[in-house]
Amino acid sequence: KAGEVLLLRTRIASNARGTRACSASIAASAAATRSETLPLSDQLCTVQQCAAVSSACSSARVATQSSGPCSARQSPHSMSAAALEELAEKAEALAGRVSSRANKASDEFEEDEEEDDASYFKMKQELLTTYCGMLSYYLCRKARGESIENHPVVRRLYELRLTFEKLRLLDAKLRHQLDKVLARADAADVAPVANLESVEIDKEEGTYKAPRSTVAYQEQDEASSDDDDDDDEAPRAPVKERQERSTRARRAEIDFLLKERSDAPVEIGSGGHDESLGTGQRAARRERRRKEQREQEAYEEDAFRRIDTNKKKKKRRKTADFASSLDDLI
Amino acid sequence: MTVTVRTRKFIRNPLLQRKQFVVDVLHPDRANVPKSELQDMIAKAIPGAFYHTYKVTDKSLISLFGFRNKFGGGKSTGFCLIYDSAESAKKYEPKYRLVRNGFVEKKETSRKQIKEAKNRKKKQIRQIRGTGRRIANHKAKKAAKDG
Repeated sequence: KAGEVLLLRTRIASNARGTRACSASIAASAAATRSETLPLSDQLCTVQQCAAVSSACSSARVATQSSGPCSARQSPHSMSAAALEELAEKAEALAGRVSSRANKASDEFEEDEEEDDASYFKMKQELLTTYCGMLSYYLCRKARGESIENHPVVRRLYELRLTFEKLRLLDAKLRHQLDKVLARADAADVAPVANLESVEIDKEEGTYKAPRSTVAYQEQDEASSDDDDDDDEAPRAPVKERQERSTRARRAEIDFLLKERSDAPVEIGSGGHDESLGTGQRAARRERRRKEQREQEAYEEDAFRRIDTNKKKKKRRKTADFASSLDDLI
Repeated sequence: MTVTVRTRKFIRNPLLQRKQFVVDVLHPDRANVPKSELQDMIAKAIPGAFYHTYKVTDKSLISLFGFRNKFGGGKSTGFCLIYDSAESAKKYEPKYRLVRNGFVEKKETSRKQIKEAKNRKKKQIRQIRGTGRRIANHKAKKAAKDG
């Protein structure tokens, strides 16, 4: 009798395939052996029921502990249908939340013929969905008991995980801009649409009169008094955040945004790309040279004398002028 | 093409008895404008220029220098000084600019001339190194040969 119970115990343990389930089943069988008066069949039944219930409980507990499908690091060894359902539910909820916002942002910018701002969200959405898909496949395999070794899914999961880590850092840096984009997307619903019927044509003079009540101007009461001409409808960032940024980075950012927004043609240097952008050595050297030249000219005009009278200096000045303008010609 | 002259940074400099300003010349179709032409233009009226509160009597009191063509051509920038009188000009202007404006005549100084003059002087003073016996012997021998 004891031997049979032992056999039962081991079989149940092997069937359960999980530490928690194991311990639970062992406890159940121990309890069963304590009550040795029960017939064997009954014992079997109770033990099995206990095992089943405990396994279900353990897997459900594990599933709830993993907050959301994307951070389930240790896949539970035994998955019941309930846990899988929960996973599916959470994945749907997440997808819905992300896609709605991304679509809103992208819709808003499709009108403006610009997709750059929403591309970040779209990329993130895609990555997340792939991650969810991979994860669910991984879990399925585990649930069925198939080996997961040397399967490309595992490697892919690792890669995605690393990407998310990097994106988290990037998020922190870009948070201000992303908030602006989202705020604009949210405000897009409220933005006024031009009402062509309200256009007045002065019959006496035959000229066009703009409608008096223009909502657009009211919305810009918080308009930035910054140097940039960019009409930014989003509210200004909090003071602390503004102060934290270094002035150079901020100026570079403003220049970049201005360049993006403006329709003006962009000069392309000999390198094939826009040379005024850039934080490299050449840009720095150009900046320094321009600054020097400006200073020299200012001094010359103040002191009423020329400085470059040396043959060497004169040559340098002439070649510098020539080289800098040749870039524009090529 | 027409030449446009603009003035900038006008200052009345009483210490040196002159008016000074920066001159911008726009000459789209020409290489540059000769200083004599600029002198004429400045002596006449430049609309809106400050110095017209003062009268410019003599064209040669207008001293122009330091003209540089802006890269690409068509524009040059230089300096201009207008002295109150010929005396102040002679006092404060550098020699080469006075020569330009005709106040002073240039001395004929070529390097070669100067060097030759120096060498001639050297021989007159006769700076002999050492005792001079060698030179004396050489001279005597030469005289004997010729004689």
